[in-house]
Amino acid sequence: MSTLKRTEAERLLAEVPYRDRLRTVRMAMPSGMRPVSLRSLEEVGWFLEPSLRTLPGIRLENLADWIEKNFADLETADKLRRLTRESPSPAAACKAAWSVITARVEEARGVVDG
Amino acid sequence: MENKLYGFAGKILLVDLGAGTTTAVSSEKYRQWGGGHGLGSALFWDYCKDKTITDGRDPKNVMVVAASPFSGTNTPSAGGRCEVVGVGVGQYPVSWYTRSNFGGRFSATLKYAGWDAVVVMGRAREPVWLDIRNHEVAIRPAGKLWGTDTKTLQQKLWQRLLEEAGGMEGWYRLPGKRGPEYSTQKPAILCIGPAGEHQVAQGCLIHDSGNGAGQCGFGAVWGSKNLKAIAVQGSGAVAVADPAALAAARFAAKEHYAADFDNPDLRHWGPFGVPAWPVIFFDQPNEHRRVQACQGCIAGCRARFNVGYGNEVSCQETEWYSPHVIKWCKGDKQKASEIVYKTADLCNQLGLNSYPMGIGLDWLIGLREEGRLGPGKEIDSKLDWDKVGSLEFIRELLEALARGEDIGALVADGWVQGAIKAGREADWRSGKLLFTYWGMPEHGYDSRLELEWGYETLICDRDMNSHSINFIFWFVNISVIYGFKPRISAEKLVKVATDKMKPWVSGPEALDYATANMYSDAVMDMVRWHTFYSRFWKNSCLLCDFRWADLFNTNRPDLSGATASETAGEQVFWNAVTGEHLSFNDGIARGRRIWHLDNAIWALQGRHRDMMVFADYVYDKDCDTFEFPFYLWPCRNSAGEWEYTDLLHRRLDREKFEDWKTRFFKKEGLDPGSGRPTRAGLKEQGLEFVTAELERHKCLGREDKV
Repeated sequence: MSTLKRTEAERLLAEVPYRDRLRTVRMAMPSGMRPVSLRSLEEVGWFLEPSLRTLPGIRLENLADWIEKNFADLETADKLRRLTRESPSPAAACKAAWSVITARVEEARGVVDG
Repeated sequence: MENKLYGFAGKILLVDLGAGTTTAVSSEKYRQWGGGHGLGSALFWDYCKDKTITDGRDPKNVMVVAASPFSGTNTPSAGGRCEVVGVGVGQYPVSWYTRSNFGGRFSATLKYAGWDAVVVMGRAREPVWLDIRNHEVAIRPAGKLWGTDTKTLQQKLWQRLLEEAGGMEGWYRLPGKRGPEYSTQKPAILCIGPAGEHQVAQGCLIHDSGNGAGQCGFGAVWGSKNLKAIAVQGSGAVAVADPAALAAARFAAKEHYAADFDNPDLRHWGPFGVPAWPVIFFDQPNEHRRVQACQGCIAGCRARFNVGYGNEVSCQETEWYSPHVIKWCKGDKQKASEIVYKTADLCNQLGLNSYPMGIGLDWLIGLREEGRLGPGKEIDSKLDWDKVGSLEFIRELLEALARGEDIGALVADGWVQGAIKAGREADWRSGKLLFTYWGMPEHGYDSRLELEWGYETLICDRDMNSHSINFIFWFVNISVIYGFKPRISAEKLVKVATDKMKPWVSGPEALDYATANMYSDAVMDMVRWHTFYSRFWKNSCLLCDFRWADLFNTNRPDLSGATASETAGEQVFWNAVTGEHLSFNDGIARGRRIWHLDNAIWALQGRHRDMMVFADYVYDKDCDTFEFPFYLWPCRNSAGEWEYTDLLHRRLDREKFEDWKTRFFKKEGLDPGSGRPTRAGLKEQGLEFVTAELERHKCLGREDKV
């Protein structure tokens, strides 16, 4: 049972203005690192989804700060900070972060959709 | 030996489109340049009568499509590459004499037809295509072929050539020495699409489905010459000096350096031994895939699918639009995959270079979000920007870019030129439009961190796109990202790699990218080595950049790669094919000579050292723009020990980099005040024949400053 209020859930599903986007990169060997802009939690989830072809280039500490600042979601931000400290590798941390973000988006959608 | 031109077909085809004539000249005179780029530069020097031109669309421009002695042989990952040279379109501040390169089977077929290179001069009065069937060559009217996309063009030409053969179903007819010869091999076609026809800077050359000479606007050059396509059919072979030695080298490469097909090492380090893997960067349409490779390749980095799209596309063209597509498809990867691969197909069909698109599109989206771009806005665009990520939008955008319409009109002469035209020069200077050098986008490796990439690009003519050193970044960083201990220690890696570079570098410090060492002579020597290596072994001999140079290789107990090795080094293949007795370092010296010839052409085009600069942001801002976690590279720490060190958060010091350039010019015998060739320097390189022309144009550097 989610403890999210409807207004909180709506905020979690919203898109931030372009100026507040999170800039990351997608790593593709040997093509290089390609800038990617993220504006919503849902997009972050898609970005972090594990792929055989490329890797997400992202600093999870900064992702946590961005989520806290733009979505006021301290709970998710703290989970990401903990993951960063405890995961055995950046790839493992990203995979775990993907699960966290995806679950949070699903939770918010469940609240909004009733 | 009876045939002194082993490896060479023996003839070069001169095509004067203005006069409507074709002529054959012997390759003998040009053998000293290897093939590919060196051959192309020498031919450009001989046949371009006005080398001061700075727009590739000038009818005086001469363009060379060149094979190498390796083309059409089974030298691993070399038989199918092809080099293109000439004055480009769309670079900034000047479109230099430059180069591009593509794979497939064109260069091999050209050799089988008896030609080492095609030199294209002048401008045809009406659109034409070039029909090469062994020794018979014809300039033919393009008629309704003009206006077609590259896929339609190739299909129509294949069909036409079949019909002209008459008789046997599915057989092409070629003229032979003793009468007609027949082949089922489809003609190899190099062509332009609408982008080239409209002479836009993004116009490229396309061969088969996914092989493109993308960078530098050579499609626009062909468009300006009214040349739609070159179709080649050949039924000959390449005379190899020592076939047994070539076979032995190929087996040695397989035995000692290449991947074990049955038991691949998925954590392998080193480009030559990486297991075959399609170089595609988005989920493939489905699992029904066949491997596709350039002629003679040991890898097969492309794929063919059973869905009718995405065939043979690879690398950057499979990812640049994907972030927008994922958003449009709300995370549905299957749906997104179709759009991503169809987008790649569209680029190839329109003959568009996709490389600037990703970064260019980011910039345009930012302008739109700021309210500067849209209908009736500061930058007028009628495209439906609400649909970014859809196939519908990208089709409209690519068509506009290919035809120089809508937003395509703004960037038709290049993206930086477009920014300046729109009054947005500051966007380029600040890195908001991430075009780092020569009016080209950052490749994906920041010049403040990956030194060889930035430095080498500036002393050349375009984004250098040569990964030999860059593979260090990938193998190290991917290991750490996955939590593995690096397969090779930093100390061992730099030793093994720099041992290959001796005597051009003195030791491991050549790969120390620490801030304290980034402007050193040691790093400069490594950049020189890599520039000259690339100029000869990659761009002239046409070894594939994805496999060579193999500086380190975990298939070997000593971790030393195939490069320069006694059994499977570059020179072993070269000597087996050509019958020469070239050492590996002789090849580097040839690359140096070729670079100096190129530099002479750049001097005639007006190059001065003051032009050899990065966009301002490289000097003005630390590299921490993106949320990238780290950029590990071998460095010595304060105790003098080697370790993998994060290079983020630094910038280039303008003054120190200028001093680096000065030392580079001096070391190469160039005038440090201008970067231009000197009489003595040219003599040292055996390039006395260019001196008079440089002198006539007052482009010789001052001797007293060296």
